[in-house]
Amino acid sequence: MVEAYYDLCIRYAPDDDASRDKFTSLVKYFGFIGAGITEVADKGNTPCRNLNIPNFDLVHGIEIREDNPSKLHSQASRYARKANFLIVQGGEDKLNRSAIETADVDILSLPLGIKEGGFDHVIAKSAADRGIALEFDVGSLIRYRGGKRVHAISELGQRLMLARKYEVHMILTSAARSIYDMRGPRELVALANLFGMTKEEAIKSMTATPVTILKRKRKSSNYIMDGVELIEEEICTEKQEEFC
Amino acid sequence: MKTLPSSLRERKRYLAIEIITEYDVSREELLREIFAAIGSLLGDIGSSECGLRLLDYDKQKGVLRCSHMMAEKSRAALATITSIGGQRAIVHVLGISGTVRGATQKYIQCAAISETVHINI
Repeated sequence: MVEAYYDLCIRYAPDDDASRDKFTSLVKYFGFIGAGITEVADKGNTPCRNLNIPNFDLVHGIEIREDNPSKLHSQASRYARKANFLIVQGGEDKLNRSAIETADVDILSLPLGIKEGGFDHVIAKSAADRGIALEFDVGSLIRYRGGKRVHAISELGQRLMLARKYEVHMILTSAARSIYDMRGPRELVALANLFGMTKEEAIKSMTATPVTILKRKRKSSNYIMDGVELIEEEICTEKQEEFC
Repeated sequence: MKTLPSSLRERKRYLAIEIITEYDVSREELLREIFAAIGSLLGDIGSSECGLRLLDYDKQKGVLRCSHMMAEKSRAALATITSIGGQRAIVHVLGISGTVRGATQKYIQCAAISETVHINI
């Protein structure tokens, strides 16, 4: 079973070339064909980096952490073109609603244990309509022990139930904060099994869903604007030569 | 006590594992961490159902035995290990097989031959 696995929401940004090589060789060794490094949006950082690595699809995402729902739209439009995909960290109800309604948002990430809000049926329904994926972060199952992990498992199970019912796209990720938080695809499947996700769902959320998100954002070099695209000119010149 | 006939023995799975760390870890440290992880994730009942046993362990690679029903659960428990003997570590399952020979030949020896793939962080 060879699938094109992606781990999209890695919260670890290698600083120099050596650590980046180490990171990519480890991710490749685990069997991923691509990974997404997600950085928190900040005015200071320069997200547009050269991320070309042979035989590996290293993409770059921006995570927006904004408490003020009205500022979310401007933040999203500012960073939408700079990165391969956009994540919004949710929180309270109003923030989640506004995140779902914002254009260009690809993934909704919700922290665990929010009192006023979280993932409910309203958010699930509109996320499914807009094609926004929900992040399932199994990193919390790795990092926490005891009571906190118990709550994490039950909350992820609750989210899974809603996501299944309303057919929200799911993204399974390790959300690694360091190189030692990374796990292989089959390990992520086993961890997702703990809160009730089936093997098929888990594999789909690491293969098909990330690919569709990236495809949506990756425009060909001939793209001009929505609905307008430059058709290959070479074909036209060949035809002209034939006429001559 | 006579050994049970093969039809009455419990079915097992053999997990070929690899420890990714900076320095080598000892067998005792690894075992302590594995049982702590499985104990906290599955509890005493779950861990007894798993019936984990570390068979071989040498140079960061080893073979772990578990019950065939609990192979996925054991894998999840191994994934929750974050550090061994005070240093950060990943326990990576190379593959699961039905026999010790299968696990060693398929996953451990193959990896040893293609040494270029092996990473030592």
